[in-house]
Amino acid sequence: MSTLLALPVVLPLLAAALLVLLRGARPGVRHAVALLATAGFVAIALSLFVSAAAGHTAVLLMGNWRAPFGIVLVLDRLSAWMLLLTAVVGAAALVAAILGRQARTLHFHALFQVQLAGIAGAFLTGDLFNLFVFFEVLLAASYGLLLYGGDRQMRRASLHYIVFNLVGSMLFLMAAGLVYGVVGTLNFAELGVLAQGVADADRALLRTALLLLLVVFCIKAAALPLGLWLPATYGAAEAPVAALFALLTKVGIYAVLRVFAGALGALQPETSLLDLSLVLPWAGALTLLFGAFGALASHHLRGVAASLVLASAGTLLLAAGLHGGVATAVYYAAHSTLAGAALFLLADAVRRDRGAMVDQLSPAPAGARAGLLGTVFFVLAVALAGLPPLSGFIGKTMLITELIGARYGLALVAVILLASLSTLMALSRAGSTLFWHTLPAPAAQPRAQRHPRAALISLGVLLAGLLALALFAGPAQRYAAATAQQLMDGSVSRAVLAAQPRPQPGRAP
Amino acid sequence: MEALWASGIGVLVAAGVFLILRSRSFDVVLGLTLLSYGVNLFLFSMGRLGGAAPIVGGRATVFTDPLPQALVLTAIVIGFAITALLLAVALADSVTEGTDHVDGEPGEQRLLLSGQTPPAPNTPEASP
Repeated sequence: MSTLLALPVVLPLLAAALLVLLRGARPGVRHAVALLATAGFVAIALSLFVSAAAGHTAVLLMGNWRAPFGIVLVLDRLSAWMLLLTAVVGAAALVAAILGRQARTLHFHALFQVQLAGIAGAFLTGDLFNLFVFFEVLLAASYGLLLYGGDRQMRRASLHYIVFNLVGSMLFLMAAGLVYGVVGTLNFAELGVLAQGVADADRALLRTALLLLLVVFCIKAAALPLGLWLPATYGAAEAPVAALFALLTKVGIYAVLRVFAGALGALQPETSLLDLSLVLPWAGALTLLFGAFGALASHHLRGVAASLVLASAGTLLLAAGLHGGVATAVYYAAHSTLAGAALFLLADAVRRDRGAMVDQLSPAPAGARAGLLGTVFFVLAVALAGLPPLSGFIGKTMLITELIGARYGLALVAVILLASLSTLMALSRAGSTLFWHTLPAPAAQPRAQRHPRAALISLGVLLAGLLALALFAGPAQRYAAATAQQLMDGSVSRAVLAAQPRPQPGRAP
Repeated sequence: MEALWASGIGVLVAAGVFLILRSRSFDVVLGLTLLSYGVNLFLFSMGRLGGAAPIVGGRATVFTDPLPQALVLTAIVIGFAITALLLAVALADSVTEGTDHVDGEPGEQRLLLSGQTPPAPNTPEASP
């Protein structure tokens, strides 16, 4: 069972290598290989999810060294949930890229697979330094994917994105080095145990290291002062790539949950080395407001989508910083990733449907599929704004229930409601301009690009995921609650440290 | 030793940060390189300074911690690769734009390659 754990990283990497070798082959062959690899990824993620849902913690000791010394991959409920989310969004984005003809460029598929490997690795790794390595893998692939499309706005955005993330990586190295220097381990499981016993003289140094680490994770999660790169970058990327990027901010949130809520117990104020119960919720709240107002100020549907990804990252940080909010963050992460990715794909479909007016928010003659796209938009808007009966409403209700009675709870509730109102206004404005306020069609209507109807399949997959989250909200919430419980009670750490290497025939232990 | 080491890291990081804050992409790349040197030295010193034997061989009784050395190697390789990628992007950008200002503004210095006509001044992009 536990050997299966390496596959979400190994399979995409092998596929990427094969795809690089196949660069001379016909596009159909490359599409087929990429689809097969991604289908395999989905199958593995599904089987890992089923095993984790039963409560098993799988530990794989790479190189057969005992846990704090060697590289270790760990699968618990949180990793399995995020992995499944990655598989769904990745598959949808890949299908959209193939059918929407964005995947024809050389090496698109290879970079896409490397990106999947990096994300999966970040969700599975059990130590801080490999978290850094997988961050770099997914970032390197994202630089490449971002550059496809190649107009000057995008190159400009990628230059800023690369420089910013490179500085973030340097900070990550410093933080990881300091943690190692003070505590003497990089393994999450051992870190949780040893960090509590650090000598008083070194506590300030350790706190500095952890705050540096928090800054790095907030760069990935695009928290407010560090997230200003996100709207420009995501707004400039090709739609399937942007849909996949909707996952990248969640990697930052995952890291916050894993390290601070999980390993260090930073959400239990009385035992904690570092109290984040004030910083995280307010950083999240400000990011949420910024994203919601940004959506109101956008001129393009893509811009609205990018701002809403920022807002959802804010909501997640807010939830992640509350003591009882981890379950909410887990549920809301799935909802917001699916909805954000779907909005990027929808913006692309609208852009092609409206011809010369693209997805600009100003009246134009209605496109050929305005009815269908408008319906999809309506469903998405209901989900994103947090209106009943879809998953956004359930997530927000969980969050607000959690906030009542928390420190500054009512102020945070006010921020959330204000941001919801702003999101709702932005989406109603976008919807009514794009689909209702249409001009009469000119006699000879120039059709810029025919968007293949099949490309709407991936939109359908994402919508089905959203509906499933709403329909099966009960089981999903129970899973999220069990995830939070497992993350905070230290059972994962014990399982990691107890894992024994396999006996090797013919070699002395 | 400690003072020398610490001030070396400090100077490298300070110079790196200064260069990153400048407005030309070449300076920014140089700054990132200096910053990564500083970070690598810092990582290396996390195994404690002091000159014990390396862990190979097995004859010494006191070893230096090998882990930071492994970390530094990994960090160097990754930093090198990403910096190369960044240079390629910056170069493509400055050749097509005619300026290597990080925000693409027509700065004082225009980059002219041999045989290239001066590019037209940048006009603000009309929104599509």
